[in-house]
Amino acid sequence: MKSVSTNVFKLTGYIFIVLLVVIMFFPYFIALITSFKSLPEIYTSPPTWIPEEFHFKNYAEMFRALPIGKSLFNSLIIATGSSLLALFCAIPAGYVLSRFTFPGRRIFMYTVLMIVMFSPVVIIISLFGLMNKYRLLDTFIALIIPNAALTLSFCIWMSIAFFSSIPESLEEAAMIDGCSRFVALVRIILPISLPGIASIIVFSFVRAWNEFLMANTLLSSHEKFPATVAFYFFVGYRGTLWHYMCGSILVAAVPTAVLFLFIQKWLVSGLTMGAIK
Amino acid sequence: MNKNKVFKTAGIYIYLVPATVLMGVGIFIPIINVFINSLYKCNAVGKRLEFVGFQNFIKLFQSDLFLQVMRQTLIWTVSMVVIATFIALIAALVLDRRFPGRATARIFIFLPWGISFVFTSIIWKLMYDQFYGHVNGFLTFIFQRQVNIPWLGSAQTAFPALIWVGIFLTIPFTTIMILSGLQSIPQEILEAANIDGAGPFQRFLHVIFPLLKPVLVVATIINVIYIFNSFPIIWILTVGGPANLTDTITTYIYKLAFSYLDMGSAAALSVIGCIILMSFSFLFVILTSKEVF
Repeated sequence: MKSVSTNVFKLTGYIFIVLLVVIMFFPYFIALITSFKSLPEIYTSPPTWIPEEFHFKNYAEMFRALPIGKSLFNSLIIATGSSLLALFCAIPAGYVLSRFTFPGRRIFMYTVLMIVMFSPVVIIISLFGLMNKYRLLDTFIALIIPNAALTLSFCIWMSIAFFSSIPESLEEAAMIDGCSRFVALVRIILPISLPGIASIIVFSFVRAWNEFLMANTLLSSHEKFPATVAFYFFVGYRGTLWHYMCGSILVAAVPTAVLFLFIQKWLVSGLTMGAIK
Repeated sequence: MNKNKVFKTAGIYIYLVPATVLMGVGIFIPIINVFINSLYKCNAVGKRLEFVGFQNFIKLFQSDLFLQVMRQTLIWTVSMVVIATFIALIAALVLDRRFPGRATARIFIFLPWGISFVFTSIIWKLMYDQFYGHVNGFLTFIFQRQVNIPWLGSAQTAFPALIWVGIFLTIPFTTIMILSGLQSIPQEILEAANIDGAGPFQRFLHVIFPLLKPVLVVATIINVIYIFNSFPIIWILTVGGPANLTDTITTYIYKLAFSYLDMGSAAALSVIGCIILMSFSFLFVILTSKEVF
């Protein structure tokens, strides 16, 4: 039998969630309506909540007014490069770490775990100095390497988790038939670990796509800026083209947010593995 | 787990080479480099000029801004983590139960997580605008008179305004973590408590909360470490202003290096930041490696 206090409890909880959802979505709702407004309407005080007129053509105009397409393309290059590099390094490492014990395995695992949460802020000046020394400033490589390195830890983690769930009998059967372990890995195991590979790629990709600090520091040519840095530059103190900014933010952010939502299950299980009894 | 095979040939180590090289080049070499550089006088591009021992650190500690920045970083970290965890805990508790619209609610609450801090901060920059911003617009509507608080420009409101954005961006992840912790609590324990006559509050205090503690601790550590990634929030909204009042370790390192061109202090502060970061990472490893190895 439900008591009154239980029902009050439930109602409060429900109201809380509704409020939280509204608050969480609020900025993106604002971005959405602002993207359809005309500039004069945006610069009115107090702001309107529903646009007076829906200027759908803003979305076409913004690509002409600002180099948004180019910056998105730059983001794509950096993010793709990082995710592929991270994948290339994480898959073999995860494979042997999940299948074998060997001297140094523990140290390696501990090292990987130590840098899972590493932040580039404490090495940004080193990165700048090193990239300058090797004449890599203002190149995409200078961004791809650190971005991949920063996500590598977690990618190895996910890779281990995935390979652990694939029985060894599969490659053993292949090896009995005469092929080497490497071929067995590539031909047999990889095709069935596509969800794991996809998670690694998406995780690394989204992280690199959203990265700002390193891109801002290590690049100087405006035409090489990825979306994060480019949009930062487009926002001046007065005269910001907010309708284009909001539109381009939605274009830049929504696809990766959706992708990220798909893989968040695997991410969280990886992080909470040790904490939950 | 398949731990029993010991592979004797060196072939296995080859599989680890790409990862090792990448981590070495991308992370460990830069870390070592900054530690060494902190003991040298360096030029604007980080080239070592002469050995000065701990002079950089002494100069850093003696600057007025240093204490201010450390204090602000502490306030930023503590308020962000505590408030976000509190909200996330309640959210997770509610989301743990079935109710109509639950799936949609989850999607909306997790939404900010996949979106770059940069993009969200830019939107907040508009929302916090003194005249055209929606925060003031909303307050104007509520109080039925013109509200023109200069959120980002005033000394009193700038830091709280930023902290709120930080909380906003921390809630999604923390909620997911606590939620998965809740979902691993065995139903039988909760039912046993129910049968014993425990009401929802008591169930929470004596059953759920104790079992959630490991998850909460891990989530807190992760959030503290993640504070180091909040550079875009501050940089885009206030650039550490007004008057360095919203600077934290992250933005201060950047300013020391690239605005004030004081590479020595920047290196010293980076080392300090690194030590803090590594300490919390170490805690994280200790706490999560129990089950894994």
